[in-house]
Amino acid sequence: MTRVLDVEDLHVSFSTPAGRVQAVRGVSFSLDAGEVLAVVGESGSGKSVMARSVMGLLAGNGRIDSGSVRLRGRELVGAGERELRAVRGKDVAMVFQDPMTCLDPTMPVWKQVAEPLRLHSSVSRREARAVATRLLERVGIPDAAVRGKQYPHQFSGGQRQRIAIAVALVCHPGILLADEPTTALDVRVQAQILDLLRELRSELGTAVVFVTHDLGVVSSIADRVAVMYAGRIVETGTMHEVLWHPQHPYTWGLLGSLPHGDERLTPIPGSPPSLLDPPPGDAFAPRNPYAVARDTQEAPPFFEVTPTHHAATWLLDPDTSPVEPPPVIRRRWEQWHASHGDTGCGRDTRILHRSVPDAEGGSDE
Amino acid sequence: MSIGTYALRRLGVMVVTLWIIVTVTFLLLHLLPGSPFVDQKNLTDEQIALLYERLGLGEPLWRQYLDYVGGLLRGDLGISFQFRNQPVATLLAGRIGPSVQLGLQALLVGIPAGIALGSVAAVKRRTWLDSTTTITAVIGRSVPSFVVAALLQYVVGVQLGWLPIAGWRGFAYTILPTLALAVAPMADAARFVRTEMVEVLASDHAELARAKGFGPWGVARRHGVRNSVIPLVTLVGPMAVSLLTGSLVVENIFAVPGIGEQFVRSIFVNDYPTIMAVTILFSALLLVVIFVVDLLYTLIDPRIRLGGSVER
Amino acid sequence: MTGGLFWERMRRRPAALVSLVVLVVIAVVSFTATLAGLVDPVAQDVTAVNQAPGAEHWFGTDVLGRDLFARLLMGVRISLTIAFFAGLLDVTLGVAWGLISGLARRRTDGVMQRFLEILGGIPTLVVLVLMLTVLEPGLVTIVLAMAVTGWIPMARLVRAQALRVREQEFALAARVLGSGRVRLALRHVVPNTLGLIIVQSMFTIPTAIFFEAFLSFIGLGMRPPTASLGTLLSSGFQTFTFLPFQMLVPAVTLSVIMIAFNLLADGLRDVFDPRGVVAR
Repeated sequence: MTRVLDVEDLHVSFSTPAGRVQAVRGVSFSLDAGEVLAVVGESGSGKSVMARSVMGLLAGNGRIDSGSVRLRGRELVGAGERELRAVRGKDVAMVFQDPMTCLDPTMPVWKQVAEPLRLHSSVSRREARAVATRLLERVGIPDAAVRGKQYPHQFSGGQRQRIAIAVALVCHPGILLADEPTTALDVRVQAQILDLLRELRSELGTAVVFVTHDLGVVSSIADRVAVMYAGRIVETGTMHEVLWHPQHPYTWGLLGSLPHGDERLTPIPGSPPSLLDPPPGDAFAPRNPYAVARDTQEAPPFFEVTPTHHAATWLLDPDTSPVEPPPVIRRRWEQWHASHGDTGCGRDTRILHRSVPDAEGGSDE
Repeated sequence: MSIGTYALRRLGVMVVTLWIIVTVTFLLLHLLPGSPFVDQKNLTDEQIALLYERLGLGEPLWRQYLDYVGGLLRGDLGISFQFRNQPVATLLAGRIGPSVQLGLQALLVGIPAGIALGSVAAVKRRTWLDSTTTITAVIGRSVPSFVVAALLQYVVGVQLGWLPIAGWRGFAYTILPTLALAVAPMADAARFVRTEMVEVLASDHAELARAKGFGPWGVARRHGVRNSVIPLVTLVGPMAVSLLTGSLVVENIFAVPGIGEQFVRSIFVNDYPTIMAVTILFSALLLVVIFVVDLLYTLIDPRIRLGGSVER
Repeated sequence: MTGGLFWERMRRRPAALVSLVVLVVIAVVSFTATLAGLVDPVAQDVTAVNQAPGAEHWFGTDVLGRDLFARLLMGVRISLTIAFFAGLLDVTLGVAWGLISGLARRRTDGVMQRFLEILGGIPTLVVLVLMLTVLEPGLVTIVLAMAVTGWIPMARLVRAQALRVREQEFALAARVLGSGRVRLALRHVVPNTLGLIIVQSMFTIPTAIFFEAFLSFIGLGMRPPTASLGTLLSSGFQTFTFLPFQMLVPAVTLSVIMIAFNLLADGLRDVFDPRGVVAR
């Protein structure tokens, strides 16, 4: 597995009239070729900012304070603007949230798809057009030779997002940053776009950072998941691990607020803290029904659940007394254990060995 | 409503407006007291009577009106009072060339310069470059074209001697008047483009362009300009108006043998047929330009053209 | 908008503030100096003809030996007077028409709208030229001519605002309670629209100044020996090549006044009309 992206201890802040807002507070993750990493969190969690900082596409008042972003070994933080421009569109590409506004209304779509190609390589206009047309066909725009000459407003939202994906992938970038690409689409179209992304990912071997607030989408496309809260990653692991064996109370909250059959939605009460002056401890503590005293003073480090699964919560600390997760989560854990049986990875984690009294008084093992 | 209906409606308004102008002009000038002839005293009574008859001035008013309108539709604009042998139409036809040339040159110089200026101001927003261009635009908008003309004539023509002061004997003679007339359109265009472009540069598709790897100038050139300039078409109408106004004086200052110069002269000598004719000509021209531009705008914007309807 | 808030916002726009000060100074000086007889714009002195600016005559003298500084002050006063009264008439006519049209029954409004559309389609220049060709040139004529052409944007603006207010709930409530439309107009539309009216008139005034100068320059406006900015420009132009200051002085003055008004109007628009409802 080739490592394509290494983000280490990234800190990003914005200057606002009220002061500097710490949007990303020490985020680290890595990405291998062909992997899809879903970054999940509420709005304000810093997930979009983080994605944008990978290509250095921050608004005027934002800046990367510290940390490292290495693209196939090449350090991007601190690189000059010219260097970053050579990378954008070619090695790293982005798909935005709103397909209705992200395309230039006065330019035919084939041209918009061909633009990165013409910018980053020396192909002729005719050749670029041929490539663009083929790509449009591939992303599902029928009769691309004719429709390519049309303008964005002549396409539906779903089609525009496909075009945007074509724009992003035309130079075969190693990394695709998708910032909530399906949020503005209706459910049926969402599924189609996700299918498309999956196919393209396999075909081209592109690694994808998929930012979303929708856990439902995560399960259909992600290989790995990182859950973000208040500028930090609080839990990360494979998709199965995070969705079916979550350890962080915030992840529990997110999963608990998913509609699931006839269960009631339990949204997480409260709202994220202001990041002007971030609290020293765990930022989630005030809303965390499972918070321990230590949470307010000291931010928890990552505890390993499996070599691939880590969560930053004091609940995983050996000294903390065990807690019973909400019923929704408990059920997920049961399914998790069922599918893993008594063999499989992660048997040496505390949770599995600990006897956790559940509501009916039994134990889970 | 559809484009066709809209066009017809605007055409209707245009025709009605023009007709009103013709009628009002006719009434005003025919109800003036006093003789229309410049040097009345040099003519004998018979000559005056003959002229009256020839020019149809003795007929009842409504008759004269119909004759006049009929003549207009045929292209007959009457006989000049000043140059008594010359039909106004001929007089004006000979002078249209310079005026049109001047107007077009002014637009061709002013508008691109304004677009460039406005774009620079937008990309380099909030830097000294932006402030300078904005101030230049305000000055360009405020200082009347005839003041600019006089200044140019003095500084460049008299003091520096680089360009001819007045006349119309070659291309060099057209430069100063063109510049004088171009200042106002340039300032208007610059201001407008800056506002539009700032908005475009902050839009989502501009961000996508940046994500493709374009720098600020690249984004401005490839996406900003087109999106900002399309609405610029709406300014062409008012620009044409101010160009016509400006041409009256600029032509005088630089002795350009155009319609504007003739118009001013006609006013001084009370050559009513010419005054009327030029008034109607100007009005017709302006109305047509505004009408065409209006229609053009709805056609140029691909969203509206291919969507097939006009929202008003 | 309270007075305090207004000045606070204006303070952040130095260009507009400076312009305001400059205009006030110019107006005060020109009016007091000429009305109080401190300067004499008509006294001729054949011994001091066409002098360059100097100690005795600050801006020089013209072809009849009249002091140009005095004539300039007079010219500014006349131009400002014309612009002011034209602006006043524009506001009155425009606001009245706009209120009536906006608050009237649909048919009446429709007719009034058509009228505006057609009348507004006639180029200002055409109307001005026609009126001034036919009528006696002079102060009153010019003011009338410019009032006739300048009220239309104001009418459109006020009508739009009147329509807006009309749709709002408190207007409906007021009407239910029996308030007549006149009350509605005076007590609700006008106060809400005052800011926009001010901004719009701030754009009308430099237009009026410009047209006066323009018309006088081509001979349709004020006639010599009256001193207005336009006539000064016109006479100055005739001796331009060898006595440039005679034209440059009124030219620069006119430019300064126009620039100041435009900057002031821009600043006022930022303060009162951030959404750009007023059309220039």
